[in-house]
Amino acid sequence: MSVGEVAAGTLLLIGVASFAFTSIGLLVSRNVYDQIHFLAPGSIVGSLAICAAVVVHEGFSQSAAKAILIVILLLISNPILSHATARAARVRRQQKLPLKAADD
Amino acid sequence: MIGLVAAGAIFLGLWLLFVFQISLSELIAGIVASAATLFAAWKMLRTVPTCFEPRARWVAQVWRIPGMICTDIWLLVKHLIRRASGRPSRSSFETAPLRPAKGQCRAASQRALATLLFSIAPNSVVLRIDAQTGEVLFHQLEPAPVPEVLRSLEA
Amino acid sequence: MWTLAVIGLLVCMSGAFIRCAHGDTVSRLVALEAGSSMCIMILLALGEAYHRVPFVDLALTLALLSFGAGLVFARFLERWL
Repeated sequence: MSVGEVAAGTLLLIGVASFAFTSIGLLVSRNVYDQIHFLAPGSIVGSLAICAAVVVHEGFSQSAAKAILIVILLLISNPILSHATARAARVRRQQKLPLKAADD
Repeated sequence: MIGLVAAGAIFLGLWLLFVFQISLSELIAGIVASAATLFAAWKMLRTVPTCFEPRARWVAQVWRIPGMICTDIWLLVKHLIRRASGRPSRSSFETAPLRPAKGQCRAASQRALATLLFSIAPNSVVLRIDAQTGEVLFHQLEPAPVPEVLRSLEA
Repeated sequence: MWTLAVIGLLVCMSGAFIRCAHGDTVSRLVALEAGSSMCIMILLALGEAYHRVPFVDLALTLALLSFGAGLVFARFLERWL
């Protein structure tokens, strides 16, 4: 196995482990707000690692360029989706958004 | 106008990246597609006015993101170990102050950037930023001090 | 190597499936968003495993659409459903 393949394999392992972390977090979390936090490890670390594995494996190619676009998109969309989902959960529960944390 | 032209150039560049070749036919296809996208965007912006005018030093705060992600991933690991060993979660709703910027557009841009930069770190998710008082309501998985990024986004 | 990664990601997706099957409405949305990002990576890894570039195009399309879908679902759950 070449150095590139070892590097790609290591990055793939990190990526899959991040998504496993997300999956376990989703299962053990007690409420929806805790679950939302566990979207980030997969979407950020996992996607970065797997796309880096593609870039290392392919070099500069069509697949690598598209993988980089996918990572940029996931990095931007994760906080936006987390915020929108948390806000929706809060509004559904409270029927309004309170201004103070003590209103929870 | 300059913004539209710049956006058109970016769309064309993205199309050429997508097809991964520079030929006359792809260039023409990209120009047609970019023109259609720009027209749709222009029509939409006429009916739903939006503005985004952040200060340069606010946008520059993106350098903090990798450090925030690394520290917060460790906090998530600690939380998962705590939950897996049967101990209760220590997640909570918290508030933090954010002095609002002057001007409706600038203040809206400040709130958007604060939501993005604060929520990108795994340990905290912004629920709401009050437009008048600037109070940030967020949910934290593990207790941690408010990140510096919020202070850097103040007017 | 890539096929093993796909199998690993599919196993991880089972967690999202379970949360989608049992949970309140917004929890299911969170599980859907997690499952979407895993699906994107599965498509990317499959494209590498079988040397098919169109799978990477599918992954990019799914990334765009799942972002929009997540926002639409969140808005609908907030206001109308």
